[in-house]
Amino acid sequence: MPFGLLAPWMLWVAAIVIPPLVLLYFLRLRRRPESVSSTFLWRRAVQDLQVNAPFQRLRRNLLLLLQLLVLALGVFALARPIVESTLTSEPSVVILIDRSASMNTVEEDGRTRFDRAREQARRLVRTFNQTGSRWLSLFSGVESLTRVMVIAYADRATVVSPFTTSMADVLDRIDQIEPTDGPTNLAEGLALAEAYMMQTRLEQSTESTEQASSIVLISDGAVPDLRDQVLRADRLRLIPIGAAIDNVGITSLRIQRNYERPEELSTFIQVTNFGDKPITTDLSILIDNRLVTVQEVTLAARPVARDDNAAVSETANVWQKGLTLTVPGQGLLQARLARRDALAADNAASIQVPAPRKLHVLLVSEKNWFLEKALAPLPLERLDALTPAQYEAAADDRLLADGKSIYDLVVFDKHNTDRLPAGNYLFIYAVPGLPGVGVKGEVGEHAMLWWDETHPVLRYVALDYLYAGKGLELELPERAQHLIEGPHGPVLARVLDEGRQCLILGFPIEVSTWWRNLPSLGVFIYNATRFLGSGGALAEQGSFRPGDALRIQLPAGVREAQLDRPDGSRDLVRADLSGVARYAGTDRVGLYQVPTGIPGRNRFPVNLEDPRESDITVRTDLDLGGVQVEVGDQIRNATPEIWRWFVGAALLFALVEWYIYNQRVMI
Amino acid sequence: MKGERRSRRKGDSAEFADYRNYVSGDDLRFIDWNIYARLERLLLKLFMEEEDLNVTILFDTSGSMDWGDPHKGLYVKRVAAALAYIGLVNYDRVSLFGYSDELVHEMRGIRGRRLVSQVLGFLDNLEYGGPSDLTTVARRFAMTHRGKGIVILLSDFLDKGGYQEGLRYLVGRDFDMYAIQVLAPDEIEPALAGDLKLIDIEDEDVAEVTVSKPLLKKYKQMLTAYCTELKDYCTQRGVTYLFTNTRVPFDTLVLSYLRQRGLIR
Repeated sequence: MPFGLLAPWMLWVAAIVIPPLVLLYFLRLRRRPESVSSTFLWRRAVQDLQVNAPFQRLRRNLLLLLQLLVLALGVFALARPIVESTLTSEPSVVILIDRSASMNTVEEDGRTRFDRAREQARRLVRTFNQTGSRWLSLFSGVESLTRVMVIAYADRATVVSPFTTSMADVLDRIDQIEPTDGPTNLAEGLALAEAYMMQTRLEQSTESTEQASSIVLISDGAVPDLRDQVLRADRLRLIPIGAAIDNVGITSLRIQRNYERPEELSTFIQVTNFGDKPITTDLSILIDNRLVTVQEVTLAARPVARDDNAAVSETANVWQKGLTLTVPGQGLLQARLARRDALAADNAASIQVPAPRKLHVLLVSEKNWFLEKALAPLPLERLDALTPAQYEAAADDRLLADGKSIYDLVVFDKHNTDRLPAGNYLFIYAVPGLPGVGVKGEVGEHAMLWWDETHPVLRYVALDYLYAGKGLELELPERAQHLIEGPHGPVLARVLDEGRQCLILGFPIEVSTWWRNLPSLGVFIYNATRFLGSGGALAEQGSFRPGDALRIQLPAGVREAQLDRPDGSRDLVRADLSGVARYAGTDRVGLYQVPTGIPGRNRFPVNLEDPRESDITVRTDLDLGGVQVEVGDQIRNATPEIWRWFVGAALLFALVEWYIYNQRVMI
Repeated sequence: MKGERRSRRKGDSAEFADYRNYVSGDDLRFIDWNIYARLERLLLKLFMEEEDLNVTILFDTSGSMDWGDPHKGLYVKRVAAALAYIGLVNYDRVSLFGYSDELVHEMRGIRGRRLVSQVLGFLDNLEYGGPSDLTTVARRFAMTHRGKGIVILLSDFLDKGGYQEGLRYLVGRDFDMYAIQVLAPDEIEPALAGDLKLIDIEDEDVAEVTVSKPLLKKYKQMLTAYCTELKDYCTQRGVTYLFTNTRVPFDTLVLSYLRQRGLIR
């Protein structure tokens, strides 16, 4: 390994200090005066000895030599020698620091992985551009400096520090990185890094085309598969962080109001043990901080042979339970694990329970007997009907409250509209006026080719002998979810847009065989009403993931509100014209609250619920584009300085010198 | 005037002592012609000398004697006093000379037991100091004293100017010479170590030495060689040499060692 000095100017000090020592040695040699009767014999003896022993002079100077050695070692230690890593020679280095949720794992020493990663980054940065002292450059010419860039990534990658040669700046910036509870999105980090590196290469291309660049990844390796990623950097090195594996986490928490008995709440909880020991712990469930039930959770150790593709739920280290709780009103449901483990973020999860209520449904139709028949038996609070003309003409307060549709579901039958406040819509043989949604044309008679039986909307819906007499060839945005496919494209699709959830059915019910199979249609309408009216809508989302944007509906007239973050700090959110404020700073798990918001819609629990992040096992077998990533050593010291060895050697030689001085008679 | 002591020197008494080879210039009267007739070699007959004894005690009072434990100077004084006493008691002419680079203390030609107290007083009042210069002293002594008698030289012989020339002057005057070298134990086995600035107490000469084991060994070798050289020099010139260490009790020296060497009976 090449050898360097952090303070090479100390060598000048050596040049200044050593000659006086030599001088002092000869001047000094404080000899003890001793009277003798005659020096005459002594002189003769000394002369004789010098004549006979050619090494005597050297021996006499042994102490001086040792002192010089001690001094040289001391000065050398002060010059802060380092064993440089080979990285130092590279012209540009991108440091990618993982700040995803798993990096919050507390290691044995009480520090989190993120702290360690930051420390590693600092140490790494300190090895750059340290030999480039101006003093030394007098001799070695102008050194090319290493340009360092720092990117922190979790669910999103951010440039912490652009390419710079000022290491002090980089260190400052590294200190400012905050950990998050977001998922790992290394791909974005790499893409960002490469984008910048390409840029610098273009900039530098006039000078030299052979600029090497490398990426140092400081992470616990908990990254999703990166086989698709192609590495364009010359070198990627992973510095693995962390060792702890003991973690039990809540990997899923779902609730749903019972459709028929709305005060009943079905709760689904999944707890996974990622550690290597079987555990038993208690899971408490609280609603609005009131303990409702405690469940004992017994989990086996994680299977040794890990297959990422196997369904997590199949193994014994996963505990799943569905509970039925009675929650008469709205509230915040919390699940807490009693056990302390390395990663705290996944030990609790909470979810906002909506108030129970029966559905309000609006049917916008020119008299559709089949639809009315299908909707009639549903346990609805209210079923209103309007003609399309009435709908378009209706006053805002007839349809809207707090920027949101007052109906839980609006069914449009053969009526295209863009009057769509936030809410849930079922379009039959019609399309909503949403961006990317349209009609490409009419199609004739067709059958259904494929449908997603697992989707709640299509559960128990028999579509095998369904023929449509005509239909629309739908134009859908890419993010649309196709639920039924026909020969000409999607027939039933789910489209989400800005708090609106639409199901679009491409053919009219009465011009199909569906009405003849009334149970099937009835089940579909039941499912659709239940799905759209109760859970799925974004506006009523009960919990969020780190990094999700919060859509906060503020009371009418309120333009600004204060948002309390889980760590106790506060942010100000501003509403847009429709009274909706957006907040994207959900980087930590916990409860985000807007005290002045609309009650019941002002609490936003953010949960980890990510088995990938909860799995804190350090992985070093990172596979990137089919290439195994080189695993670097931990940078143990701030700089791999070795001055201690020199100080130790200096002390040792000082001891030897002392010994020899005292034993000179022995020489 | 003949005394009652039988001198080691050959003289003209009736008592035959020895033969020696003739060298040109010898008195022809002493050639043993009988031997010549028999062996055809010229041999000289030597006779015992009987003399009125001059006992001269020359002792070193230079700075180097003011050193050592037991003190060399005191030791020399005691020996000198003992020898002077013996001389006085035997009714010999006793002279005492203390020297450094010059004959600085003198007590000449005293005779008789009653003067012992004077001798002791004289010795008691001696001061040590100055460099030793045996050559100058011996030359001066030899110029002012002619032949005959015993000369006892008490010194450490650590003379930077060398002892050879001085001894040669004395030997040349045909004295019955005794040289007693007195050294302190610390000179024989120096208890020194480390980086030292050795200061010569005689002339303030400074020698910077780093006392190491080989140096000590070398020093002892040098000392032995020096003493041996001195001894050989003396023996070759008929000077009785005696080495003593101040740790040897002076009475032992006087009563046994000197008796063995024939200085006293």
